[in-house]
Amino acid sequence: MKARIFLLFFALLSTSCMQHTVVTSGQQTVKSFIINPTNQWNLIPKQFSFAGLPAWTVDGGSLNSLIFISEISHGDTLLPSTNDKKLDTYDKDMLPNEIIEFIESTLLIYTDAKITNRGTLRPIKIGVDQGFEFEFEFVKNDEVPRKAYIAAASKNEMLHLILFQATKIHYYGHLIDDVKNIISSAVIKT
Amino acid sequence: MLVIPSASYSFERLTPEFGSNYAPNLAKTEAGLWMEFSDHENQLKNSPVRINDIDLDGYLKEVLCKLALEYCEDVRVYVIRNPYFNASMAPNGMMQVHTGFLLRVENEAQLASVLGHEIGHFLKRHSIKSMEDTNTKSSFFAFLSLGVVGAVASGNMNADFGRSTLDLSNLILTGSIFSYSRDNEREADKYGIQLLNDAKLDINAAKEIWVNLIEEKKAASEDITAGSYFYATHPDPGERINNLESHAIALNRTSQTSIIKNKETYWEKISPILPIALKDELNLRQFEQTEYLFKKLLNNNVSLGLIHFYLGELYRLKEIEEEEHLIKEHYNKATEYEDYPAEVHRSLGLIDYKARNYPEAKGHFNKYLNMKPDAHDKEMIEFYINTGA
Repeated sequence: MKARIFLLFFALLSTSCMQHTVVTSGQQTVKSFIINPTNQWNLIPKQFSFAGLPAWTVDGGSLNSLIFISEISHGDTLLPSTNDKKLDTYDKDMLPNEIIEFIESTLLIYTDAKITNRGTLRPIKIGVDQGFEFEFEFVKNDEVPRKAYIAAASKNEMLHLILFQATKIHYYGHLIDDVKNIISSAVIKT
Repeated sequence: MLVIPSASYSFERLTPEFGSNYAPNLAKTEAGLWMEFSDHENQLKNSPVRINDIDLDGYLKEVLCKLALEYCEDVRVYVIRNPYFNASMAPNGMMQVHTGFLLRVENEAQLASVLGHEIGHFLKRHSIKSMEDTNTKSSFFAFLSLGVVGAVASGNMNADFGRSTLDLSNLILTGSIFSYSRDNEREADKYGIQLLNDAKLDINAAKEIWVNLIEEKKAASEDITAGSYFYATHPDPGERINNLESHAIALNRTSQTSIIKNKETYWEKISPILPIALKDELNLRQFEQTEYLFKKLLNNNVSLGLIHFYLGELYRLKEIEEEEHLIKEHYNKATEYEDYPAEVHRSLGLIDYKARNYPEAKGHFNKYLNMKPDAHDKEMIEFYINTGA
């Protein structure tokens, strides 16, 4: 029991001094993406990032974050499955509309996020690969309106996507151009 | 306080613990709790998760007032976009009902039985009593600290996908910090059926909800209490059914009970929330349970185009070879009704596109865009049209 209490206190204390590593501008490789940010971001430590995924932030993860989800194979869930949350699985033949349904369902089950407004879904190129982009507004139980932008492509029968989310007020508008610059520099490794 | 069904059981009326227009004494803990919830209620009024439909809100208030009578103005009801079956009552009279609850209710009498149950919690001051209980207070603080640390220790899955949801009022509302005791729940059930009877609505509606929920869970081969905080903290649904039945029998003996259900009015009023409620339900990917629910909804003869569309969507997402014929069957059936959504053609187009039936796909995509020229995915659909061989 004492050991558990110690562990819990340690975990609590560690939140106050967690270290973010600076991600400098210039070419970076994050999972299957090679990208070229022109501004400085911060790497969120894995234990504090969304589902333990590689993620960057400018002002702190709760205000804005750029999350890299890649190499999702046929039959995989988008996020690591937990025992109590049965998530939808990826199908290599999914079309962009179906991938959006897959993401929407995953976010609802995993984080209770509900899409409140759908922006444009349109085709884009990520490097040489045909992909798509999608913008949406969502809300979780904390009722803070948020906006998100997804750029994704299927390559070698695997799904690769970058998800940017931020509070609708200020942070989304403040960073979306920078995010789109990063996407336009992105290449998916073969 | 388990009620054993017997011929001798007589229904003793419950009475409120305070008068209407009650406000707590500022010197008491209760006043602080009310203030906390008043703040939350002010935020909730403009929250994106609140479904703000004037007609529906007016209807819910009307039903609420039939039950609460002189307490009508002391209770406010809000519809919350949430696919899970739940309704809750805060100590200050703020009631929340989920879209997932409204989707599962079959008529006004069933709705009233749950609103009555929540009013019962309010009139008996159950949440205040729970807070005032010493044991609950200590577990409250223990839970709060464990909850914060637990979220971090478990990898904090929400940490950079929006603020953590660990704010006080939210946790109380979701029942995560303290729940009403099972005796409180039984008392609220009894109060609910009493108010239902006074409002001259069918008192059997109270148990019907639980019978339906058990059937829905059975369809998914699930134990109703498994993995659900709501069911785990409430009396066993079987016990509730027995108790509600006993109350109904006793009331039948002593008063003139009604069989009024007001089914048509109910469905007319909730039809505006159906598109969002059906989509959220499907997004939970609980296919067996959802299939049972959607098929049941067909019996209400309301929004049939929409419900057939979502049944088609369900079979498309389920991807079971033996059920493949049901996809187009339901989409085609949907188009027989005036209220069918344009998305029927988009889904048919996607199926044909993947099967490389490009001319058919193009036809459906064009129909979709004709019906919905400002569709958010217009550019993507045009891409499919242009890339089809």
